[in-house]
Amino acid sequence: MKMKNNSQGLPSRMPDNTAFRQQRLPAWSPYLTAWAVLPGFFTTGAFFLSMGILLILSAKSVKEIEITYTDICSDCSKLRENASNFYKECTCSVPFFIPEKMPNVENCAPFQRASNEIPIAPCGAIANSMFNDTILLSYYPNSTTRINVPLLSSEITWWTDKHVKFQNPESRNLSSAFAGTAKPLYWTKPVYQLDQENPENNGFLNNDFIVWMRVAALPTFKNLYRRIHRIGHFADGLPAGDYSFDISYNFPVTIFKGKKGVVLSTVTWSGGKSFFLGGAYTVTGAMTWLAAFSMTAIHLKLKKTISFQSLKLAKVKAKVERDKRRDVFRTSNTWVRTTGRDCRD
Amino acid sequence: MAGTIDCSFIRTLINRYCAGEENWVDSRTIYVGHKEPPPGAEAYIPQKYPDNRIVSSKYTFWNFIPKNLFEQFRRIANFYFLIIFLVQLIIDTPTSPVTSGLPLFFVIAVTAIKQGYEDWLRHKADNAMNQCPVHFIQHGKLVRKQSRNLRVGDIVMVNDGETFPCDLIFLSSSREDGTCYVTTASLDGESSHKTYYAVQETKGFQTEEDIDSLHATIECEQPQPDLYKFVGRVHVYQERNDPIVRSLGSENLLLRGASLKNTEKIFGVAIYTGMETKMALNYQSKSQKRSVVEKSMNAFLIVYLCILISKALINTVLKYVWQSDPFRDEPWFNQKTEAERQRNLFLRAFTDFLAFMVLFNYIIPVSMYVTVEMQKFLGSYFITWDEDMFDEETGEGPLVNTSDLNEELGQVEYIFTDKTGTLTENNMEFIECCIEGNVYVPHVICNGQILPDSGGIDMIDSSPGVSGKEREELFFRALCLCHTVQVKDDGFVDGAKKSPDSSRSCIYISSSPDEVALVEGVQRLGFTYLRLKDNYMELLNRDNDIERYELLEILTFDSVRRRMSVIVRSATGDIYLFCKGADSSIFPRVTEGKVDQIRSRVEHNAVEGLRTLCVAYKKLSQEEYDEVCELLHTARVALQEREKKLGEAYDHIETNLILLGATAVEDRLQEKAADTIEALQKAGIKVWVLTGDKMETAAATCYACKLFRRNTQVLELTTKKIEEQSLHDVLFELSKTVLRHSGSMTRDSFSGLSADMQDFGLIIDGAALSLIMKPRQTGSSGNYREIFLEICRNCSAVLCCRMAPLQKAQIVKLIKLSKEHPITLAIGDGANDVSMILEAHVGIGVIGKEGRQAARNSDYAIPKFKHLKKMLLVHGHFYYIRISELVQYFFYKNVCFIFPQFLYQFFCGFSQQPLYDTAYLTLYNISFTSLPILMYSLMEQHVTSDMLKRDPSLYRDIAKNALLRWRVFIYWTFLGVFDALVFFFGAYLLLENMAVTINGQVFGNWTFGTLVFTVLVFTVTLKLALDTHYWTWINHFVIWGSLIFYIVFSLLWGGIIWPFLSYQRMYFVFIQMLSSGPVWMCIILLIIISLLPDIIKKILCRQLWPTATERTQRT
Repeated sequence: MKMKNNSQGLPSRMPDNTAFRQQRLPAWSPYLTAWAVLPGFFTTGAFFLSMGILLILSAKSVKEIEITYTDICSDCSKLRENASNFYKECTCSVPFFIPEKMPNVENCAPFQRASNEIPIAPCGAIANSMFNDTILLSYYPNSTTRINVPLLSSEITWWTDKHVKFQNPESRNLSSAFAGTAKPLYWTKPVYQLDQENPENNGFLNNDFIVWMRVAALPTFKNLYRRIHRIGHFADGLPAGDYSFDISYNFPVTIFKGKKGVVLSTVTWSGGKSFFLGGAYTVTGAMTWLAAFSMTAIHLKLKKTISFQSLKLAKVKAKVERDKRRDVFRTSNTWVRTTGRDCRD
Repeated sequence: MAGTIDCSFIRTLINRYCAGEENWVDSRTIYVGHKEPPPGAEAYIPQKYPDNRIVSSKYTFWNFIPKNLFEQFRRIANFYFLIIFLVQLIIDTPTSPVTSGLPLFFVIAVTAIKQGYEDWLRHKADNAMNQCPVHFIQHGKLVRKQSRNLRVGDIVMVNDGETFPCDLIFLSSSREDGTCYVTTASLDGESSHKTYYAVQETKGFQTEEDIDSLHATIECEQPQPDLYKFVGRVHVYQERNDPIVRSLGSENLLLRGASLKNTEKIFGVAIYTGMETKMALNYQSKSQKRSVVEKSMNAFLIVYLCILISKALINTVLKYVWQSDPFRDEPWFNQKTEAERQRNLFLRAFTDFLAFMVLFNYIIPVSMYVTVEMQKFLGSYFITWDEDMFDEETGEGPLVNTSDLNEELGQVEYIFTDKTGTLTENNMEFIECCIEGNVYVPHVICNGQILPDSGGIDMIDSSPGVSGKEREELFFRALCLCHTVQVKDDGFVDGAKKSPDSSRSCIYISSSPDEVALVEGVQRLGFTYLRLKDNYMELLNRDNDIERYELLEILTFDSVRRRMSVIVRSATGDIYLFCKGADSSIFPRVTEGKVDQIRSRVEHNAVEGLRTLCVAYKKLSQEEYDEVCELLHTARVALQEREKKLGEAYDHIETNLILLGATAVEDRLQEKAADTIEALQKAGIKVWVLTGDKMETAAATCYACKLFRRNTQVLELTTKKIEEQSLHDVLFELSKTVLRHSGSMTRDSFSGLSADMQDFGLIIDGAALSLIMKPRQTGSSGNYREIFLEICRNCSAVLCCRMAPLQKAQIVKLIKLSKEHPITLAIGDGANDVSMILEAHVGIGVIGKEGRQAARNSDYAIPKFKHLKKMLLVHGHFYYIRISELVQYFFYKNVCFIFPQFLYQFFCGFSQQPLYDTAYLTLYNISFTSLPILMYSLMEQHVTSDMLKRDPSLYRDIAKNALLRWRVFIYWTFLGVFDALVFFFGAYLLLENMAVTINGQVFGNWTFGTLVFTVLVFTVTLKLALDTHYWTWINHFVIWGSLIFYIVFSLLWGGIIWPFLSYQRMYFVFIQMLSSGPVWMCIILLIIISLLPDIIKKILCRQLWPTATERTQRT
């Protein structure tokens, strides 16, 4: 009957038979079975473990000294708590000792650290709260000699920040360019006097300013302050010995129960001294292996029962097969009928 | 709005009807042809009647925008986004109003366009219906008008084959006797021709002029939905005489939707029009159907709303706790202005609360609704495109009228199917006859031979002897004569059954399609019934000779005797009584013949689902005939208990018969109907058959389509049984029977080996049902219903026969509202199924041969019943899997997205500092993570469609909303929270403790956010990749494409100073971040840590507790 209808050329609304429309696009069907995933687990585990160990070793090689000077300079701290004393000078000196040589002098840099800083959206507040302590590092090769460690403020900012994002207004003289503007409320000097010796480091281009404007994400943070200039005594880094920081203490932190300090650190390819990455990698690698082993165990244990089940399944299937054959036999009768009926049309 | 008024009107009517209150509350008076009654007649208050317009559309051109907006904002999610948007406009918030305004506008616009388009289609359909031409009489002339202009009181002319444009009182017909034949197939599914009678006093008005001179009024009840009830009376005014009053019943009422058959033309007067016709009243208001998935979605949404509010509350409270220290409230570098200090604390706190709400509002994904809508809309195309569901015979494919319910197709627990036209082809077919134990199959005879069926049982002799031959011919003659079939001459070509032999093209019409099939079958066996002429039945025998039999008596069929007889006189003068009827009513009356052989054949056929009839005869001598005549005459003239006396007379006459043989007629099942039902039952779906047909027929069909099996114990709950015992007793008895076995039933029902054990089938009829549904006076109304439901629950199949359309809907509603709240699906092809199609969770229309009412009112329409299998088992399953993953994934990815934002507030002094850049906030849901999930939700096939079709039991895996249970939802949410913790604290630990660049330069807050965001985008995308089991090139393209797009976008976004931005905070952030080795290490680490638990959980679950689906995936 069907054949006939077709040959009569019925205008067929038959939709296009594309693989897409019939949802029969060729496809890859992966399933997350233990067998398929286990190799991946073992490889990932191995990779993570080795990476973790590598990272831990590399972090271990980083030398770091951290000095919190809020309490050491307690006089200055107190002075700064009162806003009326804002313009008074206050310096303090922090002596310390480097037990072994800090290599990689080129990248050795002290970090500035302060606590409980609240970034507030309008950038005026950020600029207003700019960190304005100055820190000098001195080396005492012996008890009498004092050598100022040369510190560089260049390249402590992102290149793009320094050269593209931050720009001074176009003018011959910076102070005239900023004429008509007021310095931020808590600044001791206006922006065009941040570094009067070096015009490349003055105004908006001041490195400390740019570093500060890269707002820290978290309340406890480190900002890059200076890097050590590798010349003279310090060509190979900081030699072991006595040192001191001379700090002009300007930035008040005790008002909001904050702390600040200096960190001297080396860096490697994996950054500063932190075992977080290494530790996390190692633990994850170990966990992965653990999971992989337990899955293998379960898999092997289940294999027995599964093969037993599949045996049972096969039996059931055979039965179904038999039943079907019976069905076919039954339907074949109807089929004869149908064909009989069709021939009259 | 007219629609709403009508709806409420219908509802009150339905309520009234359901409550069993059937008394005549109010009446209406119609002036036939708008002629005022003569003075002196009773004065009637004129009423206003609606015009004959059918309205199914929701909007008009004018109210579309306000009404649609109102409807849309009634949706909780849309309203929520509107509020968020307004808040963003009003207060100073951390994020721009564009971030929520733009997506909201998009959602609203897309939905409005879609709904507008759908309503436009409805308008078009309505217009087509309302504008179809109608003939009616105006001033004695025939006028054509559009259907919608028809008014109550108009006199309408309907030609043969036309459908009635409204409910009419039948005034006169072109037939002399004032009758007409009508098929109500599209109303109640009965395709047989019914006879209606014109009003006695008006049947003489046969021309336009005559009818115009008719002066009458009709008084009748207000419209009510019961198709079979009508009460009214007509006053016909004649000059100078008193008006004649005659009562009107349902036999005078021609219903809209029915069509005129075999009658040249009729005149009628419109009494109910438009939305007041019985057909329209049987439609239920088209309420918007919501799928279970949408309900779950809304529940999840409320959970997330609570989470959101609590998050905002916590942060607001903590903010003020934090700020209670003055040095934190006003640090030295950020002192407040005087105005700020003066502001009311509560106002400030409330503003902060709102600001936090805005900051976290992305946790409720606005884009989820767009994606869900798009998925549903686009996904429905795969249904319409499916060539497996395309029927080449009719050239019809599946139609999708509502795309909102795609996934509901995967959740069906009960199927309510119509019988006629849905399960069966509504096409009776003569299959075989058994004469004295020899089986004849007429189809093989077209070769000119009779082939006894060699496969038959208990065949004794395959070559009938001489007397056998005689019996055989007698049998055929009996079939030719013993019926009430009318022959329609050529020329009147309409939709009635044509005899397959076109050379002799005569069309048989009968109120019973079986008789037609029998007469046609005998025609193929060589005996053709030609006509009844002057009380002589003429038939053409095998030798092409015309034989004439004088028809002496017809002992008509009734459902109590279940047989009929004719008494004829042959040309030779012999008088025969031929009797045919159900086996149970023939065998006891038989004294001669090969009873045992025929009985075994009959039983065999009944099991096969064929409708069997036995044929017997006896020869009457003239004396016997005279006696019979006498008997019948006395019975017929009896004034009291005429029916009973007639029955007794018939009983007396139909005795001592000689059994000739049996016939088997098949209401041909639709192709693969049995197969489909079997598959659906294996899938754990209960199939109920609801039909207006009579019980025997329906039961036979149920056997044929394997709904009832050989070993099914059939329980009956019918009027007949209730008459014997009280309803109460019957119900309790049944429930006892059923419950005795139910213990073992429930235990084994999952094994799928139900074939071995006792299962029950229930047959209930409409009258019994209405008794059950009727509230009892004692007040314990729910009682019977509960028992009934309990019985039904334990029956594997239920057959409801003699159902009125609304009763079908009642049954569906009863099950729908029972305590398990199962998902119901109704499938049917006629207008009588519309109410149940509308009532069920999913309504499916079979695109029938007669009318498309069901298809138009359904949610989905398919050409054949067999397509239901693919529709549910494959499409339903796929769409459920797809949309549930879509919903869960959307919530998951937004938890991952927003939870770090929440955590960050603890590290920024609750200052509402956003963690991510605005661009990332806006684009995360719109572009970075939207396409992969959309494509997944369109393409995913966790197992192949062939597998789903082959193994229907896989459908049980997703039953009861399995993938959107609270357990699963909580798992996903916790996974999201876990991932968010990993992202945030991973990045925190990395950036807190060290400089991460080789030159010691530092990263700021935007780098922190970007790092979290990068890990986030990669993790959620890869999580989807892990869940994808069907990787077409499209999936590859969108998944890897989105990741690449994210990278490219970030490079661009940070690589240029964008002149239109007031800030350049993202400048080079992404590039600087990627220049650091540890950041790379960290990204890889965090992605792996986030994904690992899910992978391990999946593998372990698959190993230890695999679902059926997972088992098939393994092979």
